[in-house]
Amino acid sequence: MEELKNQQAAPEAADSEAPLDKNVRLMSPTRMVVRRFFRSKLSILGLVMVISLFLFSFLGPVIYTQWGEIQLDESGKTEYSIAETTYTVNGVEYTLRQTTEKYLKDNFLAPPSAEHILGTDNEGYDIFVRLMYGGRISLTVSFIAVFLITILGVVLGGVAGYFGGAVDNVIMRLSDVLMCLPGVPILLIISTILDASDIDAKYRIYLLMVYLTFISWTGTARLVRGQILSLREQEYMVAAEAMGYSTFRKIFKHLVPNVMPQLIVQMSLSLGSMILYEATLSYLNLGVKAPYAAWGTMINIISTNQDILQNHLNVWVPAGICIVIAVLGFNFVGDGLRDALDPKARR
Amino acid sequence: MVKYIAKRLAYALLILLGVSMIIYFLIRLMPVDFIQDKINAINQGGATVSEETVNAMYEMYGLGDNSFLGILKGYFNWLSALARFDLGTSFVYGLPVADVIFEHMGISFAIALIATIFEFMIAIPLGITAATHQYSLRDYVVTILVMIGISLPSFFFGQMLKDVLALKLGWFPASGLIDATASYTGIELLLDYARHMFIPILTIVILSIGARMRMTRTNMLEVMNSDYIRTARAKGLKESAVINKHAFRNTLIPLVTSLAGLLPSLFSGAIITEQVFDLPGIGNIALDAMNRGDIPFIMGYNMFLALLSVLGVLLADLMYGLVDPRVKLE
Amino acid sequence: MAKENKNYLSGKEIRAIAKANAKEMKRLEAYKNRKAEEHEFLSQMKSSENILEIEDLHTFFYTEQGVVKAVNGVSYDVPKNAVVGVVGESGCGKSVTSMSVMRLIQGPTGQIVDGSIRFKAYDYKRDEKGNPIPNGADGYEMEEKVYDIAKMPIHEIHRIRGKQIAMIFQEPMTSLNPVFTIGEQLDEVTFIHTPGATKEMAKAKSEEMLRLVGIIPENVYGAFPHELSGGMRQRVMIAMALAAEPRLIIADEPTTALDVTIQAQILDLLQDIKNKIDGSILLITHDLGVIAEMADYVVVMYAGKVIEKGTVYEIFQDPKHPYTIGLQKSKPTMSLDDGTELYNIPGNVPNPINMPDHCYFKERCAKCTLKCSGDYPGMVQVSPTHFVACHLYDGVEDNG
Repeated sequence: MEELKNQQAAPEAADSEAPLDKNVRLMSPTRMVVRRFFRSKLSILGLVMVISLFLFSFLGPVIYTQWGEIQLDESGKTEYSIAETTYTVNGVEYTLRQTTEKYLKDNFLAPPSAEHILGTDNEGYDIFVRLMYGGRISLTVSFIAVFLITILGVVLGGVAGYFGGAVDNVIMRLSDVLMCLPGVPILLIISTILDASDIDAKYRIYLLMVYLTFISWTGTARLVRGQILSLREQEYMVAAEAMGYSTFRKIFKHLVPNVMPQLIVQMSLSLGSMILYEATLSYLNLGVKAPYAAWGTMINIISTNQDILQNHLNVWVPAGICIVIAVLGFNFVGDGLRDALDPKARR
Repeated sequence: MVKYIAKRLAYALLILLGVSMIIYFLIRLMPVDFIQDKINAINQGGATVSEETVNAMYEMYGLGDNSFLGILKGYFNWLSALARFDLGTSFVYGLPVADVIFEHMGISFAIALIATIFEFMIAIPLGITAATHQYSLRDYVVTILVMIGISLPSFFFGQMLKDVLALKLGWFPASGLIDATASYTGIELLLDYARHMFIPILTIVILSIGARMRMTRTNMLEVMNSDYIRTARAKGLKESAVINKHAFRNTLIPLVTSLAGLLPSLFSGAIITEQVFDLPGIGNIALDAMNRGDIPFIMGYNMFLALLSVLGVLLADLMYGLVDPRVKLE
Repeated sequence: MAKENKNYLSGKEIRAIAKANAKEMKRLEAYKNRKAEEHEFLSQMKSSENILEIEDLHTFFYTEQGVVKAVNGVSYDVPKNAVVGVVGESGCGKSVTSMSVMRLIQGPTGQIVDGSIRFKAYDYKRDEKGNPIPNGADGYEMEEKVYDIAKMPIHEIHRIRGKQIAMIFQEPMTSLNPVFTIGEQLDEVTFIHTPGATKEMAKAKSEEMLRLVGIIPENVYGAFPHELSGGMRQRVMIAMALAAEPRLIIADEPTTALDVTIQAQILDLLQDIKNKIDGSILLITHDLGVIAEMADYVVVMYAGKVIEKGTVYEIFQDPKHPYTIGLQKSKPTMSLDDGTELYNIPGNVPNPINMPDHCYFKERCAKCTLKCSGDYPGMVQVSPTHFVACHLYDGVEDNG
C-alpha cells in the first residue's frame, strides 16, 4: 500500500512527502479505502445487490422448500378450447359452439399465485424456485471461473515478469495467440466436443467454464506482468535490492501489496462478465441444459416460443432481471473498488 | 515504415499459425463417429451431404489417423488448404465455406457499420461531458448508463425490445430482413430494410455505447489533468476552447486507434443479436451451423474471425502511428 | 486495527470533515462560477508603483484529512518593472500563491477562501458588446483597470491569463501539448489576444519571440514538442509567455526540472529578457542563488505565511528572521570547505492540516523567547522596505 501512504497529504499542497507531525491525526490507509468505497452510493447499491442475490440463491431454497428445482407441479390443469362453426340454413345463421375440455397432468404456464409466486414455466416447474437454483449455478460457476483465471493469470504473468527473457517471450506470444481466438465461436466448438463425450448435463457448464479459463487468463497475466516489470524499476525495489532483501521478502513485502488492489478490481469486474458469459452460453443452450435451471436457460425458451415471449412475461423476464442485477452489482462494486484503491483518483 | 509493416505482418502470420494450431487441435478432439452421427442427422433433415464432401473433409483434416505422424500430416494438409483460401465444403449448404461466409458477410457488415457510426457519434460527446463535469449530476447519469449498457445481456435486452417495439406496439417487424409478402423495389426496398434493421441496430448501439463512453471519459479525465491543459488555460483560452481543441485532440488518439481496431470485426457478425432477430447474417449462420454439426463451416468461421482480429491489432498499431505524432513506426 | 492507533482519525471525525468540506466547497464553487458585473471585481491599488498587490490571501485545500491551509494570509506586492523572488522550501505555499494569481487552483478541492489579488491591467477599451474599440490608426484604444482577481468569476479570468499575466511552469517536458506543433501553439497566443490577428501576423510574432529566446525559428516552428530537448521546450514556454506582451510573468521554478548547464542558460535568458521587456517578473524558486542573481525584492515564505520580505540586499546582507538566517547558512559555499559541517535547520515543518496558534517556526527556532508561545507574530517593519514576522523584533519598528 505504498501508494496509499503517499496519498495522505493533499497532492497539490504538499509536493514533498512531509513527515507526519506527531500531533496530527490522519486517516489510516485501510480506512481511506473503505471510506472512498462507501462514499459512492453506486458501490453501496452494488454491494446490496450482490449480497441480496447471494442470500436469495443460497439461503432461498433452504427457507422456501415448497418446490424443488426439478419438481413438476402435477396438480394438473384443465385446458378449454372453444371452436365455433357457423352454418347458414335458409338464410338464417346458426352458430355451433363446441367446447373441448382437456385435462393435463402438469400445471404448466400457471400465472403468479400464492402457490407459485412467479407462476410456472412451460414444463410446470416453479419459476421462483428455479431462479434461486439458477442463481446458485451462475454465481458458483462464475466464482470458480474467476478464481481459476486469477490463479492462472497470476502464475503465468508472475513467471513471465519475474524471469523475463525466453520464458517471458513464450508466455506472452501464447497470450497474443489466445487473445486472437474468438470467444463465443470457440466455445461453440468446445461445446460440440462436450456433446460428443456424453457429459452429464449438470457438469457440462463447469467443464465449459474451465475451458474458458484457458483462453481468458491473458488479461490478468498482462496486468501482473506489467506491474512486476514497472515495479522492478521503482526506487524502493532498487533499494530493497541494495539492502540485500531475499527474493521471498521482496515479492511478498513489495510486489504483492502493489498488485493486489488492481487484481481485486479486475476480479470483481470479471465476475460480472463471467456471469454474462455463462448466461449467454446457457441461453444458446450450450451451457446448463434442461431440466436443470440457469438464468440463461430460463430465457432460452423464448427464442423458439413466440407465445411465451409475448404473453407469459413471468416466465422469462425475472431471470433476465436477475442477470442484470448480478452483473450490474459486480460492476458497481468493481468500479467502486477501483476508485477506492486507485491512488490517482481524487475527488 | 515499410520495414515496420513487413515486420508486423510477419508477426501477424505467426499469431495466425498459433491460432490455427489450437483450432486444429480442437477438431481432433472430436470423435469420428460423432461427426458421422451429425452427418446422418443432416441427411435426415432433408439436405444431402454427398459422400464426396465427407471424404474431402476427412482428407482435409486427416481424420481417422490418430498416430502422431497422422495428426502432423493432417495439420499441414489443412494448413496448405488454408493457404489456398480453401476452407472446405459446408455440409449444410453444399458450397465452399468461403463462399457461404462471403455471401452472408454483407448483412452483418451493414448492421455493424451503422451501429458503430451511431455508437461513436453518441458515446464521444457524452463521454466528454461526463469528464468535464466530473461528479456532477450529468456525470452520474452517464456513469449509470455506461454501467447498464455493459451489464445488460444482449439476448435478454434484444428480446425485450423485440417484444415491446415489434410485438406489442407493432412499430417494427419482429424478425427477418425483408417483408416476404411484398415485392418492393428501389427506395421502398431500402426503407423495408431499414425498418427490419432498426431494432437490431438499436440493440447493438445501446449495448456497445457504454464501454465506448467509459473509454472516452477515462481518457478525457486523464488528459484534463495533464500539464499541457494547465498551459492552455494559462494562455488565456476559454474553457470551451481548452476542452474542444487541446483536450479533444488528445482524447481522439485512443478513440481513432480503437476505431481502426474495430474495422475488421465489423465483418464478424453479432451472433446473439442476429439469432434473436433471425437475421441471415454470418453470426446466425454460424450458430445454426454449429447446432447442426456443420464442422467445416465452424472451423472456417473461426479461422476467419481469427484473421479479422489479427488484422484489427495490426491496423490499430498502424493507426496509432499515424494519429500520434510522438509515435514513430520503426 | 485503526482504532488502537491514536495517529489515525476515527470514522466519526472523517465523516464530520467530509460534511464540513462539502458545504464549504459548494459555497466557494458557487462563488467562483457566479455571474457578476464588471464593477464588482474592479478595485484600486494601494500604491501606484505596484502592478500586483496580494493582500491577506487564503487558499485552502479541502482534503479528506482536513483543511490544508496552503496559503494562510499571504501579502506581498510586485512593483512595476521589478523582479520579485519568492523563496521557501517545498510545500510552503509559494507555488499555490502564484497559481492563485492565475486562478489555476484545481477545484473543487482547492479554493481561494479569502483575501484580494489586485492587478493593474492594461487592456483594450471595450464597448458594451465587449468588442475592442479601434483608435483610428491600426491599433485599438487602451485603458488601465485594476481587477481584483480573487473576486473575479472564473469565466472572466481569460481577461487576465496570457494577455496580462503569463506563466512559465516547472515541467517543460509535459507542459506543451504533444499533438500540436510548436508553431501552432505559439500562434494561438496571438490569435487569442490580438483582435483581428491573421495567420501571417501570428507567425511573424511567433518567430520574433522564438528569436528572442535564442531559437532559430525555421528549425522549431514546425516541430512537435517531443522532438525538442527539455531546455528547448522551456525556451518555447518562455517565448509563449512573452508573445502577448504581458505586464507580469510568473516563473514557477522555471529551472528546477532542468540539468545544471541548461539551468544556467535559462537563467541568463530570463535575465536578458528582464531587461528587454516592459514588465515585471515574479520568480518562484527554492534556490537562493537564483534569487540573489535575479531578484530586486525577495519574499520569504514558510508554512503558508510570509515571514520576511525586503529588497534583495536587505534579505541577503541583513536577514532578520531566524528561518531566513538558517536558510542562508544551510546554503553550501566553496569557502566553507574547512571541515565544518553544513548547517541544517533542525526539525520539520508543522503539518499543514493542524497548524499551531503560535509561531510556526517555534519548535525549530534557536532564538525562542517566552513570547513565542503566544500569538502568531505580526509583521514588523524594520526599514521602509524590510518587514519581518518575528517576536524578536517587536517594538524595534523603524518607520523612517
